[in-house]
Amino acid sequence: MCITGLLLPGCKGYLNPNPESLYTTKTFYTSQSDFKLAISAVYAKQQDLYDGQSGMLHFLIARSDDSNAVNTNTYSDGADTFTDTSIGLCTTNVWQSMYVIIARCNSILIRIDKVQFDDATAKDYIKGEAFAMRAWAYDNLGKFFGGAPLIVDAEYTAAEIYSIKRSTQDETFAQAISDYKAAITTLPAKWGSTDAGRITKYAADAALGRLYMFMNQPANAKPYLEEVINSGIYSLAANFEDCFTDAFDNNVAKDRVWEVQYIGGLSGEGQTFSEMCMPEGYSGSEGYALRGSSAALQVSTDMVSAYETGDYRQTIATSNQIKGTGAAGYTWCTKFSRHSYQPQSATDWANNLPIIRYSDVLLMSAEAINATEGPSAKAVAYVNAVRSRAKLPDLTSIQSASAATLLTAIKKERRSEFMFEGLRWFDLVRWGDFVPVMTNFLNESDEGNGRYSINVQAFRSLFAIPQGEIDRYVNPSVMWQNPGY
Amino acid sequence: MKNVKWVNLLKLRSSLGTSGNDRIGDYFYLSQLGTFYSAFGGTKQIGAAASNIANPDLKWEETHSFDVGFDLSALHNRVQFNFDYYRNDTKNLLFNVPVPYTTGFESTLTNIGKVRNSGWEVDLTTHNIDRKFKWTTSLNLSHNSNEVLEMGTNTKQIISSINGGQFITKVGGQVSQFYILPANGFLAPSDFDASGKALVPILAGEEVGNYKYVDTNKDGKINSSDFVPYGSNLPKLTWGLTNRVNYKNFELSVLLQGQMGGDIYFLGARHIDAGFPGRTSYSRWVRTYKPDYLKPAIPTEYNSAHGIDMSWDGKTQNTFNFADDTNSRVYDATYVRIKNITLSYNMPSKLLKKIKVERLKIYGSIDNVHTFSTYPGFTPETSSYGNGTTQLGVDYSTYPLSRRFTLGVNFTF
Repeated sequence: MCITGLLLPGCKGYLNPNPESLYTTKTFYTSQSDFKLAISAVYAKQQDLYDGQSGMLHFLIARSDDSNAVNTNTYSDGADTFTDTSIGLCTTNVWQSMYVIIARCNSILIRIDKVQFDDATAKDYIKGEAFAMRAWAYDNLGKFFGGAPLIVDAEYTAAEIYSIKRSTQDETFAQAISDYKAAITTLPAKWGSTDAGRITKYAADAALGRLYMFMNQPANAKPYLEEVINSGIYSLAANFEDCFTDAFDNNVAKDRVWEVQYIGGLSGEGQTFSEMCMPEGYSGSEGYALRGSSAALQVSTDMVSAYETGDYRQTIATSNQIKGTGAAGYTWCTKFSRHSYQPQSATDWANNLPIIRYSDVLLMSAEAINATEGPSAKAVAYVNAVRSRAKLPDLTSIQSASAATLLTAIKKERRSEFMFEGLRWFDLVRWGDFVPVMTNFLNESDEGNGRYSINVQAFRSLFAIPQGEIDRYVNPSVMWQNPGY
Repeated sequence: MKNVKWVNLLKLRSSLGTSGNDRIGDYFYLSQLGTFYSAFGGTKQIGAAASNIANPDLKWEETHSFDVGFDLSALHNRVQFNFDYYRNDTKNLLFNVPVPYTTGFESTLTNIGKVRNSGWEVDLTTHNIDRKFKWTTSLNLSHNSNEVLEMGTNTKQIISSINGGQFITKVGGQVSQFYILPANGFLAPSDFDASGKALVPILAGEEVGNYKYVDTNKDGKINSSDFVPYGSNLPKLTWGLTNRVNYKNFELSVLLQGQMGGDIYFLGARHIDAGFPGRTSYSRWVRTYKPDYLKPAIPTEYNSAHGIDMSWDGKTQNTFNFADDTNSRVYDATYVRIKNITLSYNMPSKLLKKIKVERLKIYGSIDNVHTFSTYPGFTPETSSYGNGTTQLGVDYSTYPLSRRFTLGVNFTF
């Protein structure tokens, strides 16, 4: 009895309930290197969103009039024929992934100020990246779904989160704007080569400009877009194809403002979207893909006829000479198919994917100037710079005569410049054009011949909140479905 | 009991117990870090973030099991009969309770929920003939069912989907039921007016030859609220029957097994039973419904040149708007299988003594001789997503069972 009495106090030191070899959040977020790992995990989630088949790039292209809606199975959960519902893999992935990004950014932002860094600017940069990524997440949530619950400044438990209700779309955008602005003040203008591809101040500027344009606030967009142009860092690549090949990844002189990063070498960090552009029976003779995909997006005949004669972009971005089962007679997208590193598998492409290109900054700036000051020479010059790269003549005097005609010319230019880059759908929504444009599109004989046009209704400017989230909240006064779904 | 001469043994038994289950992975009470890779500077970069929500209240599941049964031997031990009934209630079920996606996670492991598993088993062996010619029959029967009793305060049901099919687990129902949009026949030209507008509720974009869905909640629309739980992945009865016959040194045994009731969700059909152009499909797709606007693309000369009837058979849906999440993909999994036939011969010991071998048996057997079933897939005995999930009873490209012929020799020295 006495012996055990003596032994018991001695045991306390040996019995440690916390496993020493396991990494947990209890001991994480305490050093500079911890935060470097943490911000890297945020970029990792953004990469997931650009996955080839069920990612948001593929989804947004399927929804738009860039791609054919009926000849192939686009795996877009019905978005191409406007029959999408709350039970869709792509939109559920978008909603979930954005909130993972938000949670990871919050974990950084609530702790980083308490930790001592050797290098104060390194701390500011990581904060800037976290703000910019959180902004990007709320930006996208607002565009896809309208208002979303604003989770910031704390790691709420599930029990607490149940009472944070959906905000309005304007409130969601306001959060994104505030986060972009915070990022702009702390991010670097450029990174060194070992960090090439991380978000820069100008990427955040351009993203904020794009959000203001979506909100139809061109006056607010202008200064941010101008800041990018006036930085002197960026320029249009002389050759349009250089904007997309991995040979010029992260090269600011080749249109690259913000890109999703990928590397080859069977690293597990390869890009998987390029293979979605060639059909399943692709023979591989032109080297555009290894095997193509059953989820391949076909370029619509509407898109093909939208190009002006002689538009160099049509030669680079499209081809109707692709050989393979089911390929003949159709047009396929070759924009993302040129590469310098030869992929060793369908998931091993090194080509980065564009989030924002410099020609977008120029065209948005022209549109913003046009909307606030009219068709000034500066606005026209920006458009002409993009056209000249496409080997097209300058805008005619009629096209640049009035704000209305210049806007029409800019809309047309955006369509040809950004085919298959996932921008078309949100452009149509922000211009208020999607109902007539997509109705006419689905009336075309090779787009269902009118069978789906009735589905294009105003409520479809937003996608349905994923049913899985509605089921989880149970309470419709906190999480309610968008009208029409 | 002494005077009841035909009963040799009668044993009643019952048991009660509680056991725990801790096979759930390590350290889930803490929020663990996972690694997530990104790329910049042309290099793969390691990243780290929380991969689960901490739950310091985590504990073992408890299963309270109850069993009652009896063993009976009768007629000079020529009949042996065992029966068991069991009921196991598992509470504090370790369950991935869904949490709002806004937390950055999908679910968190929590002790919540209660599931009841109950059923019975019967084992009957009879020595029918026991002279020079022996014949023994063994039969076993079992039935298992389960019910979700509780699922936690915030969760009423979990709906999940995979590969075009949906599943629901809810209180009062079985764990993992098929969740389908019921269809009743096909849309006919009379279901649309002259301008092509539908006169009955349809899913947006449907046309003649597609499924005519049932408006379950009668709200005039076909949408996710019309889905219903359907069928059962558990059979009503699972059985096995062995007959063994011995004559002199020969032995013949035949094992039959099967199940009665139970359903299987043939999601793998999207690859081989969907009529997609350019893919090998079951032959019935030659007789799919062909809408007028597609007819020019389908070579009708093929019909007259080769004498193949390509008219609609009335039951193969239009391949446009192809759908998997309807009851047409849920099939009855009842089957009878001749599982094994084995014929063996034991060499007489007199001959063996000369070569100093104690025992020598030569045998031939066939496994998976034949399966009788109406199921159109490869085998009705399958669950492609494993047995521990809420997506049970799916056939997604299960490999067919092969018939195996074995010849063998058994020596004992």
